[in-house]
Amino acid sequence: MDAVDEVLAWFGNPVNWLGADGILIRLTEHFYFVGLSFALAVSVAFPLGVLIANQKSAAQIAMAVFNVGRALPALGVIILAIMVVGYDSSTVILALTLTSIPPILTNTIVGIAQVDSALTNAAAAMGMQRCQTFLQLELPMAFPTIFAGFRTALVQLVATATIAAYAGFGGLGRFLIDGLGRNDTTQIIAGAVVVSTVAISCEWLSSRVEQIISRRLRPGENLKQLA
Amino acid sequence: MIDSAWVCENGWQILMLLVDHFQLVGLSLFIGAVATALMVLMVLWQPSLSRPLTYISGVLFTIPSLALFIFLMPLTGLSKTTSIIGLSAYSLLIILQNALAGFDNTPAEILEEARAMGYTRFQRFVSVELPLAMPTIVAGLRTTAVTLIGMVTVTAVIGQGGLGQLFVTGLTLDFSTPVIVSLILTVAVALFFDFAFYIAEKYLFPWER
Repeated sequence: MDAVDEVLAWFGNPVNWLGADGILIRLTEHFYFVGLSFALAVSVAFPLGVLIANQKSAAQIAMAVFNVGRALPALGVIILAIMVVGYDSSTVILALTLTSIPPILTNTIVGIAQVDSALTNAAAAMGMQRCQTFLQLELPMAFPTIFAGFRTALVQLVATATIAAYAGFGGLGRFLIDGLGRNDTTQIIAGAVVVSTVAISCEWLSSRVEQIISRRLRPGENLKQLA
Repeated sequence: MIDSAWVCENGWQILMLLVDHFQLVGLSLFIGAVATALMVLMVLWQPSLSRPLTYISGVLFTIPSLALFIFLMPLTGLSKTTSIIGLSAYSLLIILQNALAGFDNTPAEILEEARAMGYTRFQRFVSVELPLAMPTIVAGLRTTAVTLIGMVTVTAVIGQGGLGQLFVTGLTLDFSTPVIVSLILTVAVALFFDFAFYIAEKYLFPWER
């Protein structure tokens, strides 16, 4: 099991953690890419989804387009964006944002559209304003689906940001791409371990956040506590 | 934006990559479906297995694709096998979740009725549960196919990748035509698969929708 020992030794070497291209720096770069593009994607896709969720034909068109949009390869989008817009980290962020819009948008639309219309009608009959209905009824009801879209987008971003290294940018993908270039198996595997750990932790953390928020949001849960 | 001379000159190569792409997606989807079918049978036999199996496929799905292919490389090298194993592993989660949801949603009364009519466990599975769960299962296959079509291109980094190889060509030549051609064809393949499933769903389950 030489390979395992070598990978462990790689992790034991402080240079690989704190050096100029160590895990800490790469992780910061990675989170910079992921965080910024996630924030951008949410701020575009979520309001857009809310706006068109109740317009049937617009929602259907958006769903059809973005369902196939999931097949759009991130690697190609990043490379093309670099060629068209220029070699700059903001280009990567733009491309990453584009690839993470589909899950957020489709889940927002589905989540809001599937709220029982009897409930929204009842809300209107009780004299709730459109915006009250949205905030107090539709949003809490749609929350699990919407948040699932956020999670998918986030985990997907962590993976896609890895690919950005192929086009010459920083982030955790550097370990993999540089390792492949130098045929350094130890570094490749160590890098893959780091990337996978980060992705799985992100997934786990976001599932915890989801549980906490949905406990607060669910009106039914509060009633159960009262009873 | 597109250099048509390059496209004509490399038409044959592009076609071969397209065939490659279809092959990678088709094979991985098939292997993923067979593996999931085995998992579903295990769950039907032992329902408590549903959580651990979903969990394992979830972890596989969460591992970034590039990293997954790299974990496989010491075993299978820079080969087609590596990409097919990796891609099949990715297809497990969506297919499994849909299949399990399909079987879970079978109304309990229908299962009771089947038993009352004297169906054995096996007969009930084949002629009641499976047909009822089929639309959900096929929907899962459809989503998976579209997802895999994009993911195949990542394997270009390990020398495979079907149409994804054109990205590498474009990047090394600093030439946008191959990249655009590849993006257009990938989306076309996705549309093709999506439409094929749509037709199949309409034909097989005319009562849905």
